[in-house]
Amino acid sequence: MIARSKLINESLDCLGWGAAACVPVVGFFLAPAALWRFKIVIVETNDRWNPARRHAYLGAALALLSMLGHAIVVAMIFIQIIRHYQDA
Amino acid sequence: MPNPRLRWREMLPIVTREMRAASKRRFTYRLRFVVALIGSAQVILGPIFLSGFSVELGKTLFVLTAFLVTLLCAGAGLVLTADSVSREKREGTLGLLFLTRLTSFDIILGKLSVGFLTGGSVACAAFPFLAFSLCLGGVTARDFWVMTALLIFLLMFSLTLGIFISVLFRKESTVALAFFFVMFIPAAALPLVIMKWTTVPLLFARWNPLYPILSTFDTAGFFLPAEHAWPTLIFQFFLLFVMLALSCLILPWTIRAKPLRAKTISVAWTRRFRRAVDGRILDANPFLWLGKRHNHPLLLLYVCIALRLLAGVVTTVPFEAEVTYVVILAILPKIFVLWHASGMIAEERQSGFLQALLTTPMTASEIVSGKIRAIQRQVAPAVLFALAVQWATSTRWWAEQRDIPISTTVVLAVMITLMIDVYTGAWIGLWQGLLARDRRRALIRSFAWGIIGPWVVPFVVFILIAFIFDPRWMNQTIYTLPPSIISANIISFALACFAMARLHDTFRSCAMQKGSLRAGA
Repeated sequence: MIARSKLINESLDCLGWGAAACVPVVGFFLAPAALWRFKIVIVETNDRWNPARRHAYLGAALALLSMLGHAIVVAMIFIQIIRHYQDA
Repeated sequence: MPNPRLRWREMLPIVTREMRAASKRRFTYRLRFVVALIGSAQVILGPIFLSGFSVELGKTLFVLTAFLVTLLCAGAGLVLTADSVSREKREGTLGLLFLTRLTSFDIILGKLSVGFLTGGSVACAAFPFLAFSLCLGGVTARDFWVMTALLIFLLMFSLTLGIFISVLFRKESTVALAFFFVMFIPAAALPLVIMKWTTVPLLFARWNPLYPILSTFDTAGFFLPAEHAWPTLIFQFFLLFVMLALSCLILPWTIRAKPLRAKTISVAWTRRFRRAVDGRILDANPFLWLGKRHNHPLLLLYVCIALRLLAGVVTTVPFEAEVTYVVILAILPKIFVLWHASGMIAEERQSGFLQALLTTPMTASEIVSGKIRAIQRQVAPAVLFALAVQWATSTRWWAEQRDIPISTTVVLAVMITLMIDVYTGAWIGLWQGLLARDRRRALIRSFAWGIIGPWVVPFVVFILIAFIFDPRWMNQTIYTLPPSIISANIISFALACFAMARLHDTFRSCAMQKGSLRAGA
């Protein structure tokens, strides 16, 4: 069981990484870091009070939204490339 | 010789008591509300998407409403009666009922009447929406009355089947599985039967409770001949009475203090090997060791392998067999994970086992982690086998065409979806198993969250885009299918994260309560 101060720190880090995940292109590779910290926070909390719990949730939500946006954009670009080659 | 008048007088208080209990349950009102909401949504959204009130709208609404009510009536037995007698057996109250003047007939009829009144009230909420199609046209009064009668019969059959299975078995998981197998597997196997014989044979139609209704949807009668409907209906009517009579006959013989246990035969060296493995697991995580005792990891693998033979037998073209098998392997592990995860934890919470476990020095995280690892061990062989088969099939198609065909791309997407869904299913199953009152409700909710939930958002978004902008690119599947699959997968993963967080947050408080947390809230 990790110390509460470390838990709060991880929660804030999760928000930081989640916000960084919103940066186009680079953000896609930062999203897993936010989700990993979110998992640590969730597993290690163990019924203890965590004042930065909402920060962790927000960080995870941002990371997931970033992943969704990136994945859709990449898929659309991929489809356009395939269609371009088919037309050519 | 008991007086028949007295019997009715004694049975009615049971019905009254059960009806009073049903009137206080939120579920009764919520379900009626949901049915009315879906019906209203159809009536309001139908004209918008099908450009005004028309005959086509009438037909579409009729089929759609009938399909939804069919699912509701077919599943009614699982929710209302399937665990009614088996629960009494597990709790040891069935014997007490027989100490009174009640007979098995009174008990069965009492349970059945309550189920029918509750299920009937929900079904009746949907019938006005079925009748709405009459106003629009495209549907005759005969169609409406035939469909209504068939739905009521299906409800009655489902409830009776639930009672019959409940009398036969004791464990809730067995009851749910047996009901699911008898009610839904014949309908799910219809595409395979059609692939084999083109039209459904009478022998198969008779054992399919949904056949009479499904045959009305096939207006041409090519795949599901209408002439099989009447013999099927008569056979099922006869079956209904047989099940009822057998339930009454068997019930008094099912009372016993302890369930019978089969003796297990094991060789000395396997015992030693198991003991060594168990010792290592016990050291790693005690809850994993406890969870492992209920695991049968190779069973699902054998089922998956056996289904390959089935797919080979029912199909005539090898390509059809491969596609059928890939589809089966894409669905089966997900359903199994949901069933296993939700059921195990629901039972453990109900029995107070989790509560007892929390009195030990183990933390909630250790318990959850042990549970997840037990699920992983349970499904790993089947999931790995499914992935290997899908990979082999897709790469063979690729090699045959010397180009990446669309089918290979789809199968690769299915593989990713399977992995994400299995992960999500485990977390959502545990979360809903912890919240639900019993394992059947846990399974239904897990199914709604884990399988249907991720697809709702892309579906709604695309409908809104089509409705507001009506873009030309939406006519091409290549622009709608990949984004839908990607969105569904990421939403599924998000749901897994949410379920994991909620499970850890509420584990201790939920495990301490024995009843439904939603009802108690």
